[in-house]
Amino acid sequence: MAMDIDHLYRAFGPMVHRRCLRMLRDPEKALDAMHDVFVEMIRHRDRLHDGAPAGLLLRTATNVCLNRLRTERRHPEDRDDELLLAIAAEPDETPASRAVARRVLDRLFATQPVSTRLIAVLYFVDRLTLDEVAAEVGLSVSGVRKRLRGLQTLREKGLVDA
Amino acid sequence: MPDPVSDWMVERLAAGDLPADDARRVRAELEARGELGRLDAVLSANRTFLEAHPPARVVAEIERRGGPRRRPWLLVVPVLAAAAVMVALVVPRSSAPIVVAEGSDVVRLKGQQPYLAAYRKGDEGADRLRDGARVHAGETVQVAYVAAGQRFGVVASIDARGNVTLHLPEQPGAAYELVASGETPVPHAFVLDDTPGFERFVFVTSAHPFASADVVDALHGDKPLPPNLSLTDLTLEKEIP
Repeated sequence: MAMDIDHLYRAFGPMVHRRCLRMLRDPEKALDAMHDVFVEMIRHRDRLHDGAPAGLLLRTATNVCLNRLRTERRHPEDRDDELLLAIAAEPDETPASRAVARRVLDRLFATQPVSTRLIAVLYFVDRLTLDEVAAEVGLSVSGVRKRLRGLQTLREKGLVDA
Repeated sequence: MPDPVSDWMVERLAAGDLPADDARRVRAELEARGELGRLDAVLSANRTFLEAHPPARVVAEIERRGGPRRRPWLLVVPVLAAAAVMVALVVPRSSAPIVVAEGSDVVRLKGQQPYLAAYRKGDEGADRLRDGARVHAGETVQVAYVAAGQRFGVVASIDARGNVTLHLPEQPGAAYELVASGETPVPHAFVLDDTPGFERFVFVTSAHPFASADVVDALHGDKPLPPNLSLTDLTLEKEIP
């Protein structure tokens, strides 16, 4: 798929920025993160086969922001923020030390399973339906439910229902 | 009653990302609920955002951070044979990532922070190499840094066999006092050898002096990088013909 970054930005840049702003709560940080989301798209242009890129951009933006939230230490502004920070702190299924953090983003474009943290953000924070989450991440609804049941830490903190 | 139309669907509708049938369905649902204003609000916000952040400026910044760019081969530096450029720190080790102390403040830097750029000499000038670019033995690569105000720095690389090379400074010792602004090439370009795998360049910076040994030890996996140092990196993937 040929990548026209100008077209992608015009069509989806505002959406990506809103996504980053919602997660990072800071317009400058959101703008910076937005740029990095599109850099990731360029980086993996060879592997893009998606005629509807919004979902890929949403997942990329979410993971870019989750990685940044992981190193931030800020007081949550509201319950959604508290939930986001808790999700960001959740250990990912795949090992990701800071030194290899970037490689985690590569998994979005490979055949490895989508992260449970991403699923948690889409469902608990974005309040997508199970069907919508399943469609975005390429899992069945039961697969999404199973992943969400595994979020023990969030349940223990009382941030999500048991 | 059907589920409400999610904000996500409204975003996709506004961006033209939905297949035609789905777009009609979502629009009809919004209209039935008297919620077409949500779509108008997103479209209006999109226009406002693009006016404040024009595509020409943003796309240029995106490409500067990691997209492809060609520019004339302006880096007139001596091209030495790989053996002459290699600093005597060739100690075969495993190719572990640079060690970062758990809980340290070492951060990955992007955007308006210090960064590395790499260029491959081509027939019509220099090709900018983005992170993950494929390169081949025999190609000539010039690395440059942008200090973004940091005072001291070390540029080093490690290959798949664990061989570490210092590029700036070229000899072990104190970190180099950096040129504060603009893109500055390291002293020498180099010719890639035939070691397969990758060549990972790291740029470690600080506002205060430090030793190049801190970086070399971290690349070897002997010690974590001290927490007061900042790290950015760029990896070139070696392709075997």
